[in-house]
Amino acid sequence: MIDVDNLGLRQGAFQLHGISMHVPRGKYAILMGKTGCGKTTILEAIAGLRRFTTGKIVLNGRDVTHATPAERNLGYVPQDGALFTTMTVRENLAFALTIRSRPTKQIDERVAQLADWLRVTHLLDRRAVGLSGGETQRIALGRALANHPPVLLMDEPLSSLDEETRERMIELLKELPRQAEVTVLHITHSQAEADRLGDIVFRLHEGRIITEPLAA
Amino acid sequence: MTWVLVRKLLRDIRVAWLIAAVLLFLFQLLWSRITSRVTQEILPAMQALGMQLPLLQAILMGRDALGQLVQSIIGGESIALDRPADMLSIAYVHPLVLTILCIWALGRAANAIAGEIDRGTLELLLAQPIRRTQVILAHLSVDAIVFPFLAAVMWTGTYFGTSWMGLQELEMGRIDPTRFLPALLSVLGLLFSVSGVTMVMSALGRSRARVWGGAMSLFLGMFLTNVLGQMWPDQLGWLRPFTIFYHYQPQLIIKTADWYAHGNIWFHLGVLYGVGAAGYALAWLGFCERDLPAPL
Repeated sequence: MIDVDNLGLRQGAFQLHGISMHVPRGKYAILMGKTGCGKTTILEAIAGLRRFTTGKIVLNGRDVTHATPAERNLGYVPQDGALFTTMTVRENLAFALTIRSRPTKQIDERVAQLADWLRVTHLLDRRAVGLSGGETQRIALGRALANHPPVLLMDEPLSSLDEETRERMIELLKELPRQAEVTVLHITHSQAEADRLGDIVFRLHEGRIITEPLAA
Repeated sequence: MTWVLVRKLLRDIRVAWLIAAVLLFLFQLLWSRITSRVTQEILPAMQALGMQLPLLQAILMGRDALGQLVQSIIGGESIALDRPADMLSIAYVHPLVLTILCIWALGRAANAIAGEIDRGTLELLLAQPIRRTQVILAHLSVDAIVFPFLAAVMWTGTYFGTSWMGLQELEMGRIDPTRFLPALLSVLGLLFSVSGVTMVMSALGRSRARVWGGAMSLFLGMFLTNVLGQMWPDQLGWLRPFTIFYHYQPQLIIKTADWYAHGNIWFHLGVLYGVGAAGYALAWLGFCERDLPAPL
């Protein structure tokens, strides 16, 4: 569950006022808005990467307003995947588990499971450079989900993909809440993505949420 | 956990690390060869032609503009061109070596925080159970591993160079490579200070290229200030102590047998390490307090 209550921040001339969102557990939420309207800023605030002046953030019933990003226990998929290019695909997928010193057997099992679901098993031992956009985003998704986070934040994960790859990714993302038992907040400016994926759609305009959740 | 991060960071830099190490090693070998040629072939040949060493030394390192420029680049006025150990010590202050050392330290530190923000990977790191303090600590650990390695590679180049060129058995002034070992303290200090200052910029910046440009301008400015301060000591000499290159004094350590008993050497070392430590402390404070915006 993601609860954002009356979030506000100011950065120079840019301001966000009274942003409130509620995403029930296991739902797929879309946050829409034009480029530069503050979607990523909200995502960064939820992730704990950006401070805000007012408001409260609750994730899965726990107030994380003042928690560090790590304490929020969420998965994050940036816009262009941002894989660790000096690592192999396997090491990218395993990163969240390796950094938590999980047993090797557990890491191997989880990586195999993710690779199978994301259809990247054949890439596991390849270095994470020169991959296609779709492969990069699938691996970024797997890396974000490796540690079973209850909340997943995605910043325009499909924006750099061609139409065919985007279609395949949308099919994959549709399975997300069921496969990974995760609550998703997905940023996009594409109405088509919102229509295909969203259980709930939020619209952001000039620093304000101007449309309440459309459907539950 | 920090060790996992250190391993990742070491892996990120391994190619550049290897290139810097090879370049430093090869330059020391090359300079040993140059030392051998100058002291054993060129100077004797010039003397045979009637050009006496004091005259040559006066032309190259005298008090005129050329001499001051040469001095400012290759070392102090106490350097004697016919003494192999003096000639060899130039390899520790040569502009090419300074460039390799500074670019290495600067590039790594610029990449450390601003580079991760640029690539969009810092959010991913911080979404893991990694505190910001640990990120800074991991970078400090990388410096603590890599800098001594690079310094050791430099000295190894000196050792093999002097050995292969026969400079360790000269009658005219045998070179003992162990005399060069304490100078590595100064090399480490320079690396640490450049890294520390750049780390502050990196911790507060969001673009690797901008941090690179800013740090490069700063250190180039310091280098030129130090050179110009040597050329016009009356007018600009007072500026030199404000540059880290003024405090980088490996030749002084090499040429002073009881270097450890000299307070001024410790002062110079203290400034270099102090600047590095202050840089890291400020980087830590700045990084822990800042927002992490998405990549540009």
